[in-house]
Amino acid sequence: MIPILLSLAPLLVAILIIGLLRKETKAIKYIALLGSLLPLAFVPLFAGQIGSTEAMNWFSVGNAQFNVVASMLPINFLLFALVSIIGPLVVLYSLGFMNVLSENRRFYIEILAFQAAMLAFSVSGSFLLVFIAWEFLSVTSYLLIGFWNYKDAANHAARKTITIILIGDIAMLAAMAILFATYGTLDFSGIISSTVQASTAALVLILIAVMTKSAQFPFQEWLAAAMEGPTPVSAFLHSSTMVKAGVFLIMLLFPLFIGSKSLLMAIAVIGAITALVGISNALVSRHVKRVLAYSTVEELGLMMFALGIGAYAAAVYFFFAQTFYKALLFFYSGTLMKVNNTDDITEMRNATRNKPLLISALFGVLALAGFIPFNGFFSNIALESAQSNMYAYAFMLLVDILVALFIFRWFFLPTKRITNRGIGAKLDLGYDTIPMSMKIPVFLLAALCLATSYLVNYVGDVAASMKSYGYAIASASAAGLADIGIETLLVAIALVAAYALYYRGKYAESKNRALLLAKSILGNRNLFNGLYYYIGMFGYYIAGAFEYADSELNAAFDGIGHLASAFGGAVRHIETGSVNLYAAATLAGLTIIMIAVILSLH
Amino acid sequence: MPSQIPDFYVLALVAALMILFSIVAAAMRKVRAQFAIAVIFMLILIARLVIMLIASDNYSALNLFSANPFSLFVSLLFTVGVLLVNILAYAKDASYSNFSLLSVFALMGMYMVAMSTSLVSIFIGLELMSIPTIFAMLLSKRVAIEASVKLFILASVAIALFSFGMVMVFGSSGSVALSGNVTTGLLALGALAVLIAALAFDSALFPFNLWVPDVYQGANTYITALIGGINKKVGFIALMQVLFLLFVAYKTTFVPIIYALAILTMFYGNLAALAQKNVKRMLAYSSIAHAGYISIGIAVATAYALGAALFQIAAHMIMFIGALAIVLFMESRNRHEINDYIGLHKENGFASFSLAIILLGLIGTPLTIGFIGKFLLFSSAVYANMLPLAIIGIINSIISVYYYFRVVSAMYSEKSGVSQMKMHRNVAFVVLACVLLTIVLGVYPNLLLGLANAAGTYLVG
Repeated sequence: MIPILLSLAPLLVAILIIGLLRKETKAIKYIALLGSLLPLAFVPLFAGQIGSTEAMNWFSVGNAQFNVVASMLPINFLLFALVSIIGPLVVLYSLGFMNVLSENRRFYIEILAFQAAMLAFSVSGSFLLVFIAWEFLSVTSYLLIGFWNYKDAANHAARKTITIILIGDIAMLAAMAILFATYGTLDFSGIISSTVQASTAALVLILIAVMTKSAQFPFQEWLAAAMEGPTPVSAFLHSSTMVKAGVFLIMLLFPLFIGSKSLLMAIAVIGAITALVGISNALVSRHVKRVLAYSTVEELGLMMFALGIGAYAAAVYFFFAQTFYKALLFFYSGTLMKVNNTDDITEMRNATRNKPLLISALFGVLALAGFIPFNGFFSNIALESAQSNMYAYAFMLLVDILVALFIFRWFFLPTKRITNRGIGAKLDLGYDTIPMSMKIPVFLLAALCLATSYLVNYVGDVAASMKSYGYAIASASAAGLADIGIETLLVAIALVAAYALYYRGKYAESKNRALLLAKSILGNRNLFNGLYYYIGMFGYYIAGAFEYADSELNAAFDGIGHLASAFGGAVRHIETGSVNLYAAATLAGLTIIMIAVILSLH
Repeated sequence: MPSQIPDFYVLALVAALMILFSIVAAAMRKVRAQFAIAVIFMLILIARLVIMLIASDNYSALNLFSANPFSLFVSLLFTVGVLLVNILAYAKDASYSNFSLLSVFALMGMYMVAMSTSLVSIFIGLELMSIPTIFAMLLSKRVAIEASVKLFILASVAIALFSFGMVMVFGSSGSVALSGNVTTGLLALGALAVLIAALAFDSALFPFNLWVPDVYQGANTYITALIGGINKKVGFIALMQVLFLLFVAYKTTFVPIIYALAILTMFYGNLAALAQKNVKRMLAYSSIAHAGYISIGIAVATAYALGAALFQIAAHMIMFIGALAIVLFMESRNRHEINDYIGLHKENGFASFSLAIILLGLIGTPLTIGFIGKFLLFSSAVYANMLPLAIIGIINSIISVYYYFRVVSAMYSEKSGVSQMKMHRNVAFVVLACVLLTIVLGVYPNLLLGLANAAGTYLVG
């Protein structure tokens, strides 16, 4: 129970702020920072408890027990640590970023609640608790994405997010009901240690839930829309919270999926498609945060792909490494947006002005591209060497080069120098006055991008140690020298290409027709948004048809009612005639039940 | 156990005194005293019922009533509900006097249904409940005349059906006791069909529920809370008793019928709710959808499922009364449509927060009472190999997210030029009580769940 209670520490701080600090004060910021730091203090404590699970009865119906279980498997610990590290950095960054005092209180309350929800998720060992945390993540992310609710785009994005996420939540509820019927328990340990194979329906429902949460094709659009939230929220959401929850659930329940080859195949295919959709949009998008959002889509797709082909250890390491550089890049993008006062990367200028920041960002970019010796390099190597299939290997190489290409494009475009304009000089000043609280997280994360490379073996061991908890996981395959060479070569090619195209060349602004066509095909997000729109409208049409039928039937029976009232004075005063309809429906229903009853005789 | 019978007479005495005092106070036009009498006596009744539940009373009295885990639990539930509606109604002084007296009579009807041991007492109980309700509706507001006349005419169809069914039961087995020994034969089957139809009207199952939106929207809001929150639930209680205590031998016959009615009711309620613009009408359709969810439990017909259905009955009663309390508050400012709810969080943060919690509960969000209810219902269906029923229930839950969230997002949208709105003390009390119950029983459902499960076990043994 203790891990769960401790994971709620940030929430407790949020409640204290709600209760005690009614006014907007500067103190709120620092209290929030302290609150977000609390979980970090528990990490050493939990390190000593790895492997333990604790169950407590929540409610019971007859013989059926429903437990709240705190679980501290190695991967639970890993996620808890990640969220504990990123949380305070996000809050620290917000100190500088959220500079409108009147928004502070609400922002820090919501972000602390968001952190607590993810922490509770990371240590939950039963479906019941996972579902609750999952649901709280949905609600808090809804609040945070729509934080600037005076912007229509933010409201729209929040609505889109919650709509898609709730579909997944309800799929999860259905899966829980089925799993409970199969296993008689909702505790992960009980489900995983059982020899009974879970029904495909339950697994498909879990998969749907995961796909909505982790923005897998065709649900990926909410993640791109979600960048309407404040940048610290994006950094948190894309790196360690929310979207990671879906992939993490597959990791937790991996033994259930192993039994079904076709489902694993489906996971791999969905992941691959998601990765490609993410890449194609990231290649052409001009919005600084949208490129990163689509790159998250691509990364989540790759994690699913890795899990689908059974490369558990590679997926876990990728899951771990991605956290650091993605948070870093979002922080950097927020700074760029602030300084340049635009979100279009082709309009951003002179990023070279602030060298320490630029170099830190470069660390993140190189890590994302998979350049030696950054942490992304090792995850790419792990993913590539895990491929046993020629096509899958070729796919991985293609992904690697395209990812490197779009992230270098993203990096190079804002570095263009313009000094001869007056406005340019003004912009430069912006680079010099970035507050410390916005720089420190970037520096720290840049160091972590490099430092966590040396944790590759530790994280590999974490994944491998899951075996002793009943997880049937294939051993990670060792990478050869050839893999390292190929990877380095690919990234170098992409680097040179991006440099030539986007830094030196005028490719980005080209009006070449073939190029524009290619761009419009690659930037397919409008297609998906259109699709969502039509699916939504379809629902409304059905509802509309119902409404119409309702009123038309009423109108039709009005006529009959009038006719009837001509004959009998008793009903004359009931003008609408709908009573006749209702009574007729009652009698029709009775007739049908009568027929059903009599049929049951035979 | 004759030694426990005095318990029952004490209960009857308290109830009788409540009616007597209420009549006297009404005759003396002391509205305030009437309110105090209703509240105090209902609290005594609640205490009495709790004591009887703790003592696990199980016996019959006067050959007409029976005190058992089932009847005591549902009586307790309805007393709490009527008490809440009374507090709500007192916010509107003008028509409270009539309502209070009539609701006390209706409560007696509810007890009669809950504790009945024969079809006759169910019949009388249902009438004792619905006729005062219709009168209360008629007397409360001029525009409700149409709604009340509609309800009256349709209710008389149901009365006719029920008495016809009762006659057929008597004709086939020579008794109207709820004893489970109905003789087989065509006559008994006919009785089953007719009684299901009559009680489907009382519990608002499709297609016996087309009148619901009109009546709910047309009636005064606290009366809607009474009808939708409690009266329709009494219909379910009667349905459960008739099916599981009388026609238990026909389980294979009635299960498919309730199964089909549950599916139709869920779809009808949820799909029609999607298109609504008026909040009260939307809640009417949503209560139809919940009637569908509850009947999942009856269709599954295990002790677990009936416990779940009874839990959901309690859950919906609490959330429905809470939601309508806020509708009442908004109506007093002449705001009825979903669009009128825009910007509510600035005008009255308590109202918008409470309604948001209650709507989340109606969706079935965890840590609310609605989650436990829906989760138990769906899992009971899966448990009993009725997977399609669970999946249809879940699909319907997905549909419902849309219309509930329209209200939530309207409330939390920005509007310019807002001013604070004060909520009447009584309305605020009811809202607070419902929200607290929604959360507390969602976090700690064991107590209610234990009672509901014992009641369900009593029905199917």
